[in-house]
Amino acid sequence: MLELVNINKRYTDTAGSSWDIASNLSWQWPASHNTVALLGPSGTGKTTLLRMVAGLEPVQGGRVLWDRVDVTDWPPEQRRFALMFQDFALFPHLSVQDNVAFGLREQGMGTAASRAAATELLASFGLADKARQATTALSGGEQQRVALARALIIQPKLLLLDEPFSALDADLRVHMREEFRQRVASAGTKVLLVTHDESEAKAMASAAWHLQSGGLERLW
Amino acid sequence: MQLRSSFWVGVWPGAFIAVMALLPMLKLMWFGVYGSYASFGTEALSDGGAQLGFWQGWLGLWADDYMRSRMVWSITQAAVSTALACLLGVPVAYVIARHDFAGRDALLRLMMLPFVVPTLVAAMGVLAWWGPNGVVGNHLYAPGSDGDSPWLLIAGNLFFNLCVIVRAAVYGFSAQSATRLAAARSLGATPWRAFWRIELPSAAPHIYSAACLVLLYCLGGFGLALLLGGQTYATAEVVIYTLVAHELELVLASQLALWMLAMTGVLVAMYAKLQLSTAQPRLAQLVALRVTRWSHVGDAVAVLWVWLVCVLVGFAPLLAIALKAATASSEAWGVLWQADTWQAVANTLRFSGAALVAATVLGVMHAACGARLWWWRMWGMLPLMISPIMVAFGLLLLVPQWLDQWGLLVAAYTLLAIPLVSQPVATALAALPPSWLQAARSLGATPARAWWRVSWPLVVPAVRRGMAFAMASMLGEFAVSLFLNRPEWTTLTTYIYQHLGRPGSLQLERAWVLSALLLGLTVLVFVCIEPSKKANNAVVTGAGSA
Amino acid sequence: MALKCSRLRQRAGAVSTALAMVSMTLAGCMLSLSFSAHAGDKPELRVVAHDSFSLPKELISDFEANSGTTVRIVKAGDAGAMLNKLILTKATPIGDVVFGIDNAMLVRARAAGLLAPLPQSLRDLAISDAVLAADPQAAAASDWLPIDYGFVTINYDRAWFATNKVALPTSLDDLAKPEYAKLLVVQNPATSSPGFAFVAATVQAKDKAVWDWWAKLRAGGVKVSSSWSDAYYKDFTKNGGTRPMVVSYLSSPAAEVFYSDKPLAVSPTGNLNLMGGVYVQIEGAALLAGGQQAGAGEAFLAFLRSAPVQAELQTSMWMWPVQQGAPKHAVMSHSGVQPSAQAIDQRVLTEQSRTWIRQFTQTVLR
Repeated sequence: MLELVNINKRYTDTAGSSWDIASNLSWQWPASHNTVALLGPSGTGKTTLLRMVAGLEPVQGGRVLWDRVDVTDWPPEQRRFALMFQDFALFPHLSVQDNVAFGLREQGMGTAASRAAATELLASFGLADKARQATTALSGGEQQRVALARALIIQPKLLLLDEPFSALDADLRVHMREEFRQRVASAGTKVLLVTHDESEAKAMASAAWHLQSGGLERLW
Repeated sequence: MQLRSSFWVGVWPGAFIAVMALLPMLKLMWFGVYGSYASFGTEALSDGGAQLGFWQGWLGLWADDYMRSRMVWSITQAAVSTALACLLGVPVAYVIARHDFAGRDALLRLMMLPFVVPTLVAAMGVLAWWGPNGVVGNHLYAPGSDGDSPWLLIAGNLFFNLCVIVRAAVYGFSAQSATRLAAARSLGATPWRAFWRIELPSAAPHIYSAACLVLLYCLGGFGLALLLGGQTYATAEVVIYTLVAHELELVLASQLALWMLAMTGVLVAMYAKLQLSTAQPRLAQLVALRVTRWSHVGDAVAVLWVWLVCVLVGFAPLLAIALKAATASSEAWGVLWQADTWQAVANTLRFSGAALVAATVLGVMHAACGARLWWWRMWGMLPLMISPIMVAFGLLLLVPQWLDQWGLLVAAYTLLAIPLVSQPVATALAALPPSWLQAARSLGATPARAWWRVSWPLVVPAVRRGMAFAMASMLGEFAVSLFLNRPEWTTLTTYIYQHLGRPGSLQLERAWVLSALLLGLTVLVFVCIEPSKKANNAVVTGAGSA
Repeated sequence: MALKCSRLRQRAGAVSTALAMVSMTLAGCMLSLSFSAHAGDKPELRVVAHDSFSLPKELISDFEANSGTTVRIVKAGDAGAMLNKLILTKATPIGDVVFGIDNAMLVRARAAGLLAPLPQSLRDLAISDAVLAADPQAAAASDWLPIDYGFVTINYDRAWFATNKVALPTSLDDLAKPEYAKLLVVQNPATSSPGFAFVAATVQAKDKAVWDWWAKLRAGGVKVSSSWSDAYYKDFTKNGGTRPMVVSYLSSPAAEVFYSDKPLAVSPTGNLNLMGGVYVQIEGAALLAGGQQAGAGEAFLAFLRSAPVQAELQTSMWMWPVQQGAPKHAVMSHSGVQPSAQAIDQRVLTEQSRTWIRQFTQTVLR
């Protein structure tokens, strides 16, 4: 379980003004919930908080714990918290299957074995025929599914989502949410979702918090 | 990149630049303030300048008529060349960016050719075309005029730098949102107003940064000014060379060099800041190219005019060299069979090759550890700011006992080539969306692995472009080779220059033939190293500006 | 598929780049190694000379055969630039012997510690009376061996003056008049030794008033070129330029006759030896301090003073021989009578040369 203890973070934007995203923020993952949403209007620092959990943003005070172990000083590659982005962040110079196999290769698996595993997963996503193609040849929805496959294949402890469906059109968004919820449930992965859309939070998460004035307030 | 690893990667190129560029300059200044001329055998001389004290003399340089006129001319010719390059280049770029015509791709690739031509060859080319005995120049000079013209130097500057502006402006005009333009038109803007209020301001940062670069090249250029400026139109760089090599007037030379350094420093700072604001990720919908309809007069005129400008300014001088070489006597062609020529070729290759390896490694390291910091990028451009004559001369004062080691020459070459590699690589790195690296890290890659598997493959085209430029520029390196020249180190450029200094038409013809040889070598190397357009398009990077 | 192709192409491109780099560097190194291997059999004598040094190949080959060394002529630019280069590189000398240090440069060369003492045998060689009259100090040098001498003066284009029916100027003051100043091209004393020589001669003649004289020349339209070859081959009317008077060498008219395609009775150019406009220059050779091959070096210096070379250098380098009793080549008569000129005192030259150059720059070039 994820636990945040007395997190402090001051954010300074490019114009020079700064404010506290988190001041003495403490939070614990609610028991028996698998998907948690973090809500708030744009610009309040939800993404920064997410990046702190991922290890990409330094924490200015306090600790991040996972299963009671202090991971505050752990680099991102050791935490196994996979990130998914609004712009999909697929690597343009690698094929679809190599994108998916990326994390496996970092874990030490050979090229052929990782590609085989990737293709297998892609088949369950219905994208087996696109395995060798360039990522730029895929539609938005297909790209986001590849990103999900890439994240799930390494069996992450936690999936961190940064408004992953904002770039898709409305119909696709609804469809993707449902598909996503099913896949994550069958994989049993915990998900932390950051979004500004309350209906999205309601559709995907079973508990939601609101980030405001440096603290988290439970919504439901 | 994490701070500690950035430091260890960046310290090598940073220290190299400091040692090779700053130390010689500091030694020179120290010599100017404290040194004595005794070891140069000139103690008995009445040295009016040195009595004044170094810093008062430095400030007083503007009061000296001759020095002031040289500095003013340096600035003037750079400003006029840049203004002309923009006036000619921006419309040309607009036509290229908006129209699709036969040969467009070839033209874009050919446009970089003048930039990589060695300065000596370029000067010869300009003389062959625009000079008093040139193909066209023959008719341009009034009979009885002395053949000295300020326009020769400006033509030379344009030859080199028009392509810089055009490339940058094409990139700026291409990377524009079609929807924005459509919105402007639907709000009542005529095509001209839309251009003036939407398209031009959007491309402006690219054009400004290219203009800074052009100003920098024009101010600091040595080879062109030496050959095309003559006595009457000598720029500050040429004066520095004369002061050092012919008169041993070290104090005056250092003072003048410091003023030039101040001016170039301002330009480089502006350029570094502008460069950062131009690195932007690709837009969703770009303005489409219009296919040229030859029936439409406006289109036809525009395209023809583009070709005319490019050919006249950029390609004609090269063709003129080929022409002069082709019509040279067979005795002149005999120079290709002389052992001296092949010694010069061998020297050119080994110095350039060795320096290319070093410059690539150091340049990539420099770019990797601070692509987004403007002051770090400025540090990487220090070699462009500093006069190569002063670097060479400072080295001479600093380490006279190593003047016969060719490693020293290679180190000087490397210094001058580092910015040519680090700039395109840094631009490409800055344009990489940060989310890609973050995704890689979250998928289990250490910073080094993420760099190796994600960043590096995406900047390889930029690295190769940087290498192509670096190699081409080192093949034609003139200032340092001239100054640190030892007979066993003669390169092709100094060899050509020697021929120019000897009287007689045979020597001149030999110079044409050798220039053609050097040009051929440069083009060959450039074509081999620079990535093709397809390789470039395989990845999405913003490495448009040179 | 497309991605695989482009990736393969990228990889091929990267490999070809690496190959290109490595092969070029290796090629360069191997070529230069082969060159140095070739020359490695016999010891090499490096002779530093200015660009105008020239002797027939047969003479040099004879010397190489007799002395058992290979001679390598290192051309280091104009005489002034050559001296500066030697001074700047004296910690690691670029040669063993230097040719082309003239009486004007001697003091600087000595002060910089460039020259090594000569053996007595060389110092005993006899010098002609003309040279002794021009510069008595020349004979007394213990580290410098005079080889040849010449004069810097004004050449004029006979044809131009005849066609345009203009009388020649008769004095320096005449020359400063606008109608004559605009016909003259001189060289920048900073970058050209004949240019410097001419300026020095005018200073010696006119003393304090010389810079007013130069200012008048400038106002009249005198042209300044950066080198002798630029002035002579581009600006002189004989070669298609616009100026019928050029600062050049006394021997140039003779050279014109020697090199012309068809035999000439009279030289197309003539010498205008104005009072105060002639400079006598004695050129010499020396052993460089820190150079190797001392024995071969001394032999080379002796070779330069030998009869065949003293005869040949007249038509190779267009200077007169210094050796007493050396016969003058017939074509040299086209240069007219040798003017009697006194060499300027070496100390004055050395002390004032930078001031004169600076004054010239201020007065004429600005």
